[in-house]
Amino acid sequence: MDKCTDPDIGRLIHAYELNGLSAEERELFEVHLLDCEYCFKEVRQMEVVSDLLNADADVKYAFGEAKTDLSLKTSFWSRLKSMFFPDTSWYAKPALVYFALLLLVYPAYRGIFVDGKRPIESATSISLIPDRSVETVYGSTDNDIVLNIVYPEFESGADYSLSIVSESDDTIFWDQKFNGFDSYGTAVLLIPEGRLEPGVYSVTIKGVRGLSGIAERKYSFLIRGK
Amino acid sequence: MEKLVERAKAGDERAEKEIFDKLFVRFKYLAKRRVGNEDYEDLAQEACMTVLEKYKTEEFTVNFTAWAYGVLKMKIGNWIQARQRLSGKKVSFEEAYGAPDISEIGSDLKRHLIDCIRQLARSYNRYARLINLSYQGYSTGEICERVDISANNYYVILNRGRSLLKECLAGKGVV
Repeated sequence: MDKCTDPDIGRLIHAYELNGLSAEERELFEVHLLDCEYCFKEVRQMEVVSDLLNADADVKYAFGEAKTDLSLKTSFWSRLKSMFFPDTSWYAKPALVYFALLLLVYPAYRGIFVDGKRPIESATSISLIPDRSVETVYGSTDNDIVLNIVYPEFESGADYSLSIVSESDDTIFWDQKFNGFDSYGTAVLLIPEGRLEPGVYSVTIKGVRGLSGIAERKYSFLIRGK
Repeated sequence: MEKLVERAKAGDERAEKEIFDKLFVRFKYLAKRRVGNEDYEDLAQEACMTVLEKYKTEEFTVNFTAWAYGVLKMKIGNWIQARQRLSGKKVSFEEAYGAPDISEIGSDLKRHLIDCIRQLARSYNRYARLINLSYQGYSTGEICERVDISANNYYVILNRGRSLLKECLAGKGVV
């Protein structure tokens, strides 16, 4: 039998071995011993050890060395402390706390030693101004590209579409209802890194609805490789 | 046990033998704890004989086990009374727990046990603290109040300490 038949009574086992039970509890446990193979085997197995625990002065002294201050009740703070740092070997427990610390330390390590050393990469800025020749940009297409668009014919309340097309007629960006203009008719458009290959691109802004003036304007820009 | 008793009452001799083998071993253990090394075997045997004589006709108030325990308790009580008459010293049944005889326990076991206790006192200090209080004579209730834990926690800590102690001793090959 590898299990106690009545764990409610079986839990008294060590208190029984140490003669620490009340008369009623002791009787209850002894009746239990007559019936429970597991508990009887356990007490028999530890019988000699229990005798030493109960009667040997050196053994008692070994326990006495462990802690001298026994009079204090456990305070709230010491209970809180014992939740995080129980009276066990520091390396064995509490695993959860050390795991949590690891979780905190790793992001800090990443932030300081990995991300902190990464250079801040600048974006390539291209200004698209009416009647100017093609804007030429040198640089890596691995950078983000910021298009600063000036559209003097902008009319508040009108709808515009905006498209960016490569020289091979691939549409890079198209917004049927572009609403990025401010009241002065300027807009900023960010094209994420890697979206543009070196080459010529045309940007077309077309009035779709509610206009009184010019309905379409084209801009061009050239990106050269390194 | 109760099922065995039913079978034994119905005439199953093997069940009866099994009951009394079990009871005799347990009675010996319990009697030894009460009266020490002197007469415990005789007491256990007497109690077993009484149980054997009466169990078929007896009506148990709770169950067979509790009744059988009562028989042993009565035998030990009588033994204590007889001793009192001889010595003139009054001892109740509950006070009959004498200090166990440890003179024949090997020094190796004791040395290993002390090693394990020291180890345990470092790694599971709560256990050592409770045992210390118990050595000072505090009852379970008083210990719980003193260290501000529930009785259930008290038993849990004791049993965990016991397991660690046993594990440590087993590691040294002594239990």
